[in-house]
Amino acid sequence: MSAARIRASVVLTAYIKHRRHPAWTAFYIKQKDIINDQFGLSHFNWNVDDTNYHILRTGCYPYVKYHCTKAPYVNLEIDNLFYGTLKVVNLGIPLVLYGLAGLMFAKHKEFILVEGKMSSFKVSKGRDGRQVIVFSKEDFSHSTYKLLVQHNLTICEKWLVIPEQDLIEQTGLTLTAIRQIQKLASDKVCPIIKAIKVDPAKTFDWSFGSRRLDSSFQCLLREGKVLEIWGSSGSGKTQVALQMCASIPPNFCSAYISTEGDISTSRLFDLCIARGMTTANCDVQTCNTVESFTDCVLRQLPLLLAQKPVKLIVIDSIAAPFRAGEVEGGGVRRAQKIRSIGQQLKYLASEFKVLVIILNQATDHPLKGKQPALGMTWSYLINSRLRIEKIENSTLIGARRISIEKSACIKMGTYVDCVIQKEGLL
Amino acid sequence: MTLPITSLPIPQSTVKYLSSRNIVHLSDVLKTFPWLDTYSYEDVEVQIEELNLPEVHRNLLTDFLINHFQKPVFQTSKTVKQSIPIITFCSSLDTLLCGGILPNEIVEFLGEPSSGTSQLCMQLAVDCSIPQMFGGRACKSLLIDCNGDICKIRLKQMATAALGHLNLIASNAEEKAVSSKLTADDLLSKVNTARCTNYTQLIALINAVSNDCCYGAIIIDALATHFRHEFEDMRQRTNILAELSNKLHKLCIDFPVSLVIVNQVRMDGEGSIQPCLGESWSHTATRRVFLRRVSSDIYSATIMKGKRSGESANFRISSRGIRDCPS
Repeated sequence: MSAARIRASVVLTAYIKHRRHPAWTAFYIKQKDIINDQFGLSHFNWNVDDTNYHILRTGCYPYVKYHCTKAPYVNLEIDNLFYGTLKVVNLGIPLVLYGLAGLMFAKHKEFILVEGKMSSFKVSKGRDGRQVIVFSKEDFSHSTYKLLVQHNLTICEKWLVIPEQDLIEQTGLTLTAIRQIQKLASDKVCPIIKAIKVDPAKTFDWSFGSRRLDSSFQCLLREGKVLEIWGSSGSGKTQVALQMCASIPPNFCSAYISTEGDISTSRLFDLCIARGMTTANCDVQTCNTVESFTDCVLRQLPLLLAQKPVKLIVIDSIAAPFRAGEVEGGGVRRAQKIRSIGQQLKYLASEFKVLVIILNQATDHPLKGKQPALGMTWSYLINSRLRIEKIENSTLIGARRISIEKSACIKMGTYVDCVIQKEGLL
Repeated sequence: MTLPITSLPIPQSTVKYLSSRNIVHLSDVLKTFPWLDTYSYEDVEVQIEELNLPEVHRNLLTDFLINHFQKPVFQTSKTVKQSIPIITFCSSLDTLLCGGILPNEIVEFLGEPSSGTSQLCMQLAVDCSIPQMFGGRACKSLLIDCNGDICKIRLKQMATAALGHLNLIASNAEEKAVSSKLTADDLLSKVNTARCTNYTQLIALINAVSNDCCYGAIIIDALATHFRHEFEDMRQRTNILAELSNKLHKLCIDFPVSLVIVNQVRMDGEGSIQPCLGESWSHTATRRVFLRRVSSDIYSATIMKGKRSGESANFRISSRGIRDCPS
């Protein structure tokens, strides 16, 4: 599509705005379609509506690739110089290859209205948190599609949410036409309806790292589920989580988010050595405040899942940031934050087919005794719940009882007794 | 019907014309124009034009006939159809629900976390596929999973238990033949699931189903889940919920489908338990049942809205599914 040439900086700003300020995104644009006003810039800060982005710009003939990451302002001059030199040293040959690869990989085109002019881009399939389902150009006649682009209505979800009357006023289409587009949007967004099949062949096996626990509680470990393990301090929650990480097969990996200070990596290695393994594929992240934790779950975790074959996510104490830090806006806001984190974890679990383990602290209830922290709001957001506690009056040191408190497939109150040893909980 | 037409509020000229055609009593009208009962307004006009009357009479006659004989749009309530309810396999709960969940109605279950709502949903889905000769509906069911709580292994367990029960109650040879041939997978093949991860997916799914609904029951496990966050603007939420409520009602009118909705509860300022989704949503369901966990495996259900309101019953969740409490 031929279009008047536009300045590259304008396109960059418009694109980020159009994608509603994603955490991460990338796109290709044809060199001849734009006026290059960012020559010599390879890695630089870019401010869009008070949000700072780090832009990695590479010319890869016949395209220019832009790679944008949301991040606070950092001085990038040295980086810029480095990338610039690198390009000169390589004579730009890898960049031409990159351009050809871009031609092959870029999946779909997007049209964005920039200062009243249409321009076409190739957009590589980027993942910014949740994937948005958009209408493609083939779905409509050219004029209708242009109309949708003009009114910024290419996102299918919008058609399901905005009332019919508003859509008529905005677009000027007839009611029948709007109903048709709504139907199309429904078909695109609608999840797949599956008949129930209980097939014995499973795709992946998780393990508690203890044969006894596995034999009793295997049905809790399924893809797409969120399992909570709670207990008072020193009951061995972290132990269970670590040994689950350690028993992930070598070609997969796990993600461990700790909110109660640094996780002792030495503990993980000790565990691995005791079990006769050399390494553990575990990505570790530490968060201390509600903000950093929210950012980690909502933004960084999807990125990690898109890049690595993660099969297990562990969150070491969901309660810690919410109990310690004051959340702006009080109790209602706190409950909303907890809900959005819980929903995001469920979404990630079912989308990427992983298992999520969440450790929770105990709290003292004046009437009911020891209870899991965070109350009812949180209890709605988990699929199953295990309790781990010390066995009183036991002759064995490190004896623990693990019992079911919520599950769809195991009777409530079923328990298994274990002992903590050097190799972990057995 | 024996009223003379002279007593009717119609012009003298029309009366004269009608008398000339031997129409004296109201009952004669129906004899002369036997099509009156079955035609609508437009059809009556066409029919009268075919009589080739003078125009004055034609218009007056049309008005007369329409005003006196056209049937009202409202329909007199039909006698209750012999429709089969979905049973829960627990006699105390079935009694509480007046025999089970009927087609064309919306029943809402609500309760705290782990109060047995998901278990009840799975049980109802399995029970839909029981053959008619055993009192089931023998229909397909759609289990919409918003929470990820639906467990295939549990569904299989319930189906196997249900099959065992059918074998037990089969009394004659024909029933025995059917029940012995049936397998748990046959029962489960009629149960369909769909996982929704946000509210737009749920709306899209309901839209898609409303076009052509082949299910006897649609069960939405925790509809409230996706409407309790993501919304900054509460007015938008109310609008979307009202729209959804309309769609569900329409679905219930258009198709013989039973709708089961699961709602959540919240604590209000005084610490008492209230249903979620606000006041306007509470008008959606025709019946509302509150579930509560009493002790380790005993649960209780209380009707909050609808027939037998205020009454409650106890049930038990065993490994086989929802069953009666041992007396």
